[in-house]
This record gives sequence, structure tokens and C-alpha cells, in this order.
Amino acid sequence: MNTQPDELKTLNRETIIDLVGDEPDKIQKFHTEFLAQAATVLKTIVQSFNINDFGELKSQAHFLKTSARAVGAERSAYFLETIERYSLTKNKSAIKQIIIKLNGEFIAIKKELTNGEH
Amino acid sequence: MEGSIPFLVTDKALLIKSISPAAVELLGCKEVLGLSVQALLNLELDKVDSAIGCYKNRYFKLYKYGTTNGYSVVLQKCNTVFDEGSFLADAINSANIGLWRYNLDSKHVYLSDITKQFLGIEDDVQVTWRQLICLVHKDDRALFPLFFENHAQFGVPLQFEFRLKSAGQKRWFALKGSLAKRGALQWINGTLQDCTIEKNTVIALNDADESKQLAIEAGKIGTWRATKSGNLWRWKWDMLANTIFKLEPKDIGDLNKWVELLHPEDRPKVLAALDESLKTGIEFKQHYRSILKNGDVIYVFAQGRVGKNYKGEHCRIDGVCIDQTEIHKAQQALKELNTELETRVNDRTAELHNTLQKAERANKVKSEFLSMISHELRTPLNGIIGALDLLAHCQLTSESKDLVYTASTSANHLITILNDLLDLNKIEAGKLELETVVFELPTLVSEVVSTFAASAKEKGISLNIYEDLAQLQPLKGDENRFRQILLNILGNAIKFTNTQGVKQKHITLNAQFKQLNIYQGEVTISISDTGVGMSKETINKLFTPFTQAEKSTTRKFGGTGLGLSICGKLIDLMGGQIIVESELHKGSVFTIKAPFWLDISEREAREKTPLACYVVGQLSFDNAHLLKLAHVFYDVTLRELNSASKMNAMPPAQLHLVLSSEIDSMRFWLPQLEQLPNLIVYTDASLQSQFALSFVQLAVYPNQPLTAHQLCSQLEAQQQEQLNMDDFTFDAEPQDKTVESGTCGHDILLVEDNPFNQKLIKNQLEKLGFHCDVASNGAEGFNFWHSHHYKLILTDCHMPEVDGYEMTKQIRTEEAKSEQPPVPIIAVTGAVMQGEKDMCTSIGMNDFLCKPVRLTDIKLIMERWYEHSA
Repeated sequence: MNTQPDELKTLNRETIIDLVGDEPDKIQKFHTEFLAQAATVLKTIVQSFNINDFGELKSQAHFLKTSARAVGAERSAYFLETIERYSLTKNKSAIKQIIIKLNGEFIAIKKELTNGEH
Repeated sequence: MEGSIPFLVTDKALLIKSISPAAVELLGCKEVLGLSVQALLNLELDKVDSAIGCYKNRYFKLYKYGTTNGYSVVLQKCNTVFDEGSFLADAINSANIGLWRYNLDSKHVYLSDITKQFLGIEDDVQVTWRQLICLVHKDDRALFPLFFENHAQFGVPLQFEFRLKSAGQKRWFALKGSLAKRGALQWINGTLQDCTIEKNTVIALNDADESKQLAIEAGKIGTWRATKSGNLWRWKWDMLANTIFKLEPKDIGDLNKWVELLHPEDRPKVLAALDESLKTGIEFKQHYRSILKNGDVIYVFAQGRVGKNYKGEHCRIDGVCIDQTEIHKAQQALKELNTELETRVNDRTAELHNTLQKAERANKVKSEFLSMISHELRTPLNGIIGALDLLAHCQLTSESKDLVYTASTSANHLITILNDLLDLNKIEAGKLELETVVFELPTLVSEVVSTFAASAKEKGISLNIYEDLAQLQPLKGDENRFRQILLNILGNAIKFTNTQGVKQKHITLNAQFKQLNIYQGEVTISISDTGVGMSKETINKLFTPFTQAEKSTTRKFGGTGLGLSICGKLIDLMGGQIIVESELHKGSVFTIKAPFWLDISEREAREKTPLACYVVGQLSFDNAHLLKLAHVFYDVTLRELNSASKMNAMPPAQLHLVLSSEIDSMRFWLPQLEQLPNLIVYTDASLQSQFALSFVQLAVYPNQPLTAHQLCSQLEAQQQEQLNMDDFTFDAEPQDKTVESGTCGHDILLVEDNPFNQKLIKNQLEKLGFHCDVASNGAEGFNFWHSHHYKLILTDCHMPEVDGYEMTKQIRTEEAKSEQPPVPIIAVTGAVMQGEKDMCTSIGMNDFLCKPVRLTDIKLIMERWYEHSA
């Protein structure tokens, strides 16, 4: 990833337009779909973290990463990729901080989508 | 004439030509040649044969004898200018009387030494009559020729006073004289006396008398007096007194004329008082009425004092009388006006009293009604809120959730208003009682700040918290009511700072504690904002119920206007105060001061946990404040890290804190810092996002808004290894079902385990006019391929059970066995490394797409592989 981490966006709305075209209803559906998936996968990630299942942790992070990239959740994708990386070295304290930040990002996406709707 | 005879030889003009030795000895001077005998001895000798002269205060008698060329003048010493003897001279000298003589023919003037002294003339200086007149005050000079001529011609007594300046002071002199004749010669001889003291006294007396007279006339005050002659009193009064009573001039002194005019009702007491004063000497002081001859009634005030003679007998009475008719009339009118006003005030007061009673009754009824209705409304409202809460947790569509949220917000707002109404009623009825519970100020402040931190951030308001807790002790008081006040005032600050016109949106909360004595402490919390501000008039009515700052405020900002009114009453009950300072369009400062009891119950002193603190780069203002807070609660070991320092070993600590606002310095120290357990980084709010993303593996928090309580909580949470699942639950709409797996007889197969990607790629294909069957993993994909004919397979690489690579291997093996033409298999992968591509190619995949797959990319793939597929 060439972009500096602090240049990443919470939600880059242009990304999904590139994938499915400028169709707001369809895009909203994909955003909703992503958040639902994120809520589920985040729980799995936390569970894996708490039982030190770093393999599953990596797998779940990878699973969600492609969805995050598709909707333009750049920071979330970056965090998920970093979780994948730290899972290989089993750096639990680093993963803990990233999961906390990932949670914050999902909340931020939800807020941004909610505000965008109104 | 030689020898012992003192004599002078003169010419015809009496100028001295020679002097005998005896004369030199007698006069005590020999430098006299050429001088006039007359001038030297201050006499006249030209027309007489003898005369008495004076030289150096000694008197000499001169006898003149004619000679061929002039005269021989023999000198004889004598005691005085008078021959009669020295006693007269002594008497004149001791009485300080000056003598003078004026020759009417020659105009020659003789002045005695005392006279010269009065006039300020040197002893040996001879003055002329004209020179003498010039010494006199210019206004008095005319007196001299007038009096002297009248005296000489008509015998009018020569006696007058004149002024002249002597030794720089104005002095008065009395001049007297009389004409003396000797043969054909005429003189006026006279005396001169200094009468300055007498004259000034007379002038002062005249002035005082004139002043008194003018004052009495101006005040229309009549004067009266009576003197006792034998047993009779003789009465007299002035014209002013006579005018007051409109009496004739001839009536002056006739007491009966005055008595006749006395009002019959007043006469006995006035006469009795006068009689009493004359007998006993007590002061006479009476207000009385007189009926004048024309029938007019006048009101008079008279006052007099009795004087005694040398025997101590009462011999005189002197007094004044003043006509007070006009004053009496004015007083009477004023009295009538007062009476009328008093009546009106009494009537109005009675009306107001009645109105007040009615208003109080109405207010009581209103309060009771409000209280009752609030209670009655609150019960069903609580039911509504509970039901809405349960409903919010049910599976709802987005639209329904919005409606439930709106209903819930409105219901909660309504219950807040009802609670405010109940509070106000309770306070006004004096029924609100404060609680006394032990509480921690940092927790309270933190709760208040946490309530608004998120909304402040959302509204772009920078919220800064500064707590000075060095001396803090546990407090006892009504925590809930104090929280209510703080919530209200901070809430208002947020509300009135978040307006369109305000560019710089800052709110600062300062909390301080001061111990007043061993039992009491005072908490001071000031909340300043850069909001819309208020005028002085607005501040004055700020704490009145149902009154908001401006009429437009309710419309613009909402609210009932109850909040600050309740705060004002609550703080009064607590014995504290709220001080408001504000400037329109600049912002406001609300300072809340409240006294609390100190919790003096014994408790174990909490041991401070060791905390290793690293300052990376320069310490910013807010990090400095954070460090100050840390010192209050932790045993802090501080280490400053800059480019020149080394990361020496620190004492062992459970907690590690990094304070930094320099991202490059942080990068430099990161390798060492990230090794530390339970590390937490605080940075300025403006840098927090950049720090959090740059140091993704570290816990990074903003140092503002940050309360002491939050700092402790965050440090504590950092020590926990596990994550709490409850903290990672956020609401999201339920996920739609996975794309239905199965065959629909399409000629494209998509093998993808991620339902989101399944939907996305399927949707993209449909947008390009293609349709696909979907398999959720490699095993399912192989089965699909085995039972159907596909022109193209799109497959994810990493999947559970059988992944994309394995499935491709199986398909290629089967195709080889059955000699089928190979179906194009496209890898759809998130990994883009060259190794991944090589892997795909080596196992028989034809091409690959990188996730997320753009429409243009998928279109190219379709053109390349689908269109040309057999």
C-alpha cells in the first residue's frame, strides 16, 4: 500500500462507485451489507483474540479485509491487514490495540453512513 | 563774641559762613558751613529776631543780630520747643502726638519728629506743604485744602481723619489744628494722632450693623425690645415689625395696639408667656395668630431673650418677630396633599394585597396542578420509554428503527421537562431536601464531561478540561444536584457555542478544590465558552423561571428556560453561588462555587502505583497538565527522551506512559518504546488521529478532553489482557442471506466463500450482462463443474475446506482424464504478490483478478476469456 496510513479515509465513497457504478440504492445496500458482516466478523476476531487462536484471527481478518476494500473502508482494511501481519508473530498487545481501533473505525463508518443518509 | 559764646555768622540769606568753637561743641557738629540756619535747626528766623529750633532731638533758642554782611546768631540750649518747660514735651511724647505748624503766608511747614515718624519722613529732611499732601491717600487729599481754608476763613473747626500708607500698611490719622496770629503773621498749629485701631473698629462695627440690618430686612424680620424703667416696661419696635402688623408709625411702642390684634384664642397664652419671660428671664418663644385691622389673619413666630443689669435684675428684653403666613399656607397645602396621597396609597396597597393573595392562591393551585399532572404524566411516559427500549432491541427495518429512535428521543425529552417542572415546584414549595452522600469529585466531573464529549466533538467544539486536584479530599453533599447543575451549564455552553456565527468553538472547564477548614471545602468549577454571549440585561433575567436569554432563543435553540432557574435555586440551597460573566458575540463564563463537607471518616491511604512516564520531544501544554494529574494519582518516574538521550533502564513499573506531540521523535524511539508492557501514548487532540494511524500497534489517546478519572480508567484498562466482548458490539442491520448456492444453468461459475464478495461479483457480472452460478468453496465448485458445462470459472484462492488452488488442480486433472478442453479458470484474489501470480499460473489457472474487482477489469477478463471460449 503506497498511501501513508494517516492519508487513509474512513470511507472512500469513490471506491464502490468504481466497482458497481454510481447507483446510490445499490451502494447503500452494499454498505449495509458490509457493516452487518463487520459486526459479525469483529465478534469472531475478538473471540479468537481472547483464546489466542492467531490462525483463525488471521483468517477472519483476511476474510473481512476484501469486503472492507470493496466498500472503500480504507482504514479498516489497513487495520485488518495489520492484524493479519501481527497474527503471524502473535504480537498480542499490538493486535489488541488494532482491534480497539478497528472497532472505532466501524462505529465511525456507521456514523458517517447515518449522517450521509440524512 | 569770641570765647565761650556759641554763635554762628551768616549772610543775608541766613547761610552759615562761620561757626564758633563753643557752637561746634554745643551742636556736636562742625560741618555746617554753607547750610541754611533755618533748615539746620528746623525753624523760621528770616522775619523774626528769635526762634526755637531743633537739631538732633535737642532744642536751641536762637537770637539774631544784624551785621554789615548778614547776621550773627547766638545759640542757647533749651529743653523743649516750648519755653514753658519740659513737662509738656514729655506729655506729648508719651501720648505719641505729633505736632505741626503751617505758615499761611510763607507756606512753610514745621513737623515734629513724631509727625515725621508718622509720615515716614527722615528726621533731617525738610518737606513742603505740597510734598506733604502727596503722601496722603488720594481719596483724602481734597480734605486738606477744604478744611484748612474753611478754618482760616470761617473758623470752622479744623478736625478730620485721613489715610496714608506708612511702613507698607494703610493707617488712619486724626488731624486737629487751630489758627494762631502774631502780628501780621498767621500760623495754623496742630496735632496728628494715629487712630488706625479706633477707625478700623468703628468701620467694622458699622459694617456688622449694616450687614445685620440688611439681613433682617431681607428676611422681613421685625425687631422689638423693652427696657425696664422703675417698675414700668418701655416698649419699642422697628418699622418692619410695624409693617408685619400693619400698624401706623405712631403706634410704635404702644403695646396695647399689638395686644389688640392678637387672635382671641392665642392671646392668653402669648401674654402669659411674655409675662413669665419678663419675670423669670426664660426665653420667650411663641407661634401665634393676629387678626389685622383689614380682617386678614397672619401667622407670626416671635422669640426674645431677657437681659440683666449689673445687679442681676431683668431689665430688658430683645427679640424678633417673623411673618410665617406664607409658610403656614404652604405647609397646610402640603399636609392636605399628604393626606390625599396617603389615602390613595392605602387604597392601592389594599388592592395590591388582594391581588397578591389571589396570585398566590392561583400560583399554589398551579403548582399543585403541575405537580399532580407531572406525576400522572410521568408514569405512562415511563411505560412508553420502556416499551420503546424493548422495541429498539427487536429486529426492525431501518425505517422502523428511525421511527422508534425519534419516539424514544421525544419521550425522554418530555420526561426531562416533567422532571424540571417537578423540581421547580418542589423548590418553590420549599419541599426540596438536599442529600448528603460521600462522593468523589473527579468521578462526578468525568461523568459530566463524558455526557457531552462526543456531541462536542461531533459539533467541532474543542472541549478542554483542567482539574487542580492536588489538595482534593472525599466530599459529602448532594452529588446528584451538583451534577444536575454542571450538566445544565455545560449543556448550555455546548448548545450556545454550536451556532453558525461562531467560528472559534472552544469550551474550557476548570475544576478546583480549596479546603476552607478542617470540616469544609469549596469546589469551584468554571465553564467558559466562545459562544453567542449575552448582554447585561439578559444576564439579569437569566435565572428567572421560564425566561430564556432572548425571545428568539427558544425558537432557535429550544429548551423551556427552566434549567438555569433550577440551577440558581439549587445552588442557593447548597449555600453556593453561580457567577455569570458574558459579552455579546464573544462568549460566557459561568463560575459555580459550592461548599461541601469533607468526609473525615478514617480510611486507608491508597498506595500509589508506580508509573514510568516518558516525555518524547517537547512537552506540550496539555501533556504538561496530564503529567500534573498523573502525579496526583501515581508514583511517577519521569524520563525525557530526545535525540541526544539514551533509553536507560527505568525502575520496574506496571504502567508505561508516553507523552508526545512530535511524530518524528516518536518514530525514532518506537522500537524501544513498543517493547514496554502496558504502554499508553497521549498526544494533543489535533495529532491523535495521525498518531493512532502511524503507530497502529500502540494505544493512543488524546490528552483533551481528558478528565483525571478517565486517565486512571484508561491506564487501568490498558493492563487488561483480554478484550470485553460487550465493548465490541455495535448495531447493524441484519445481513441478507448469502447468495443462494445452486445451479440455474448459467455458463459462468463463481466460487467465493465471502457472501459480500459473492453478491458484489454477481452484481458486477449482471451489470455487464452476464449471469453466474455460485459455489461457496472449492469442493462445491468442483461438483458444479462436474455436473454442468461452464464457459468460465471465477474463483477465490483462499477458502475453507477446499481452496481455489486445490479445486483448479482437481478440475485440470479431470479434464485431462476425459480429454475435455480446459475451461478458463480466473483467480480472484486479494493478494497481488508476484509469487501468488506464479502459483496461479503453475497450477493451471488462466488469469487473475485483484480484489476489489473493478468493472473495467472484469469486463476485460470477460472479453478475453468468455467471448472466445469454446
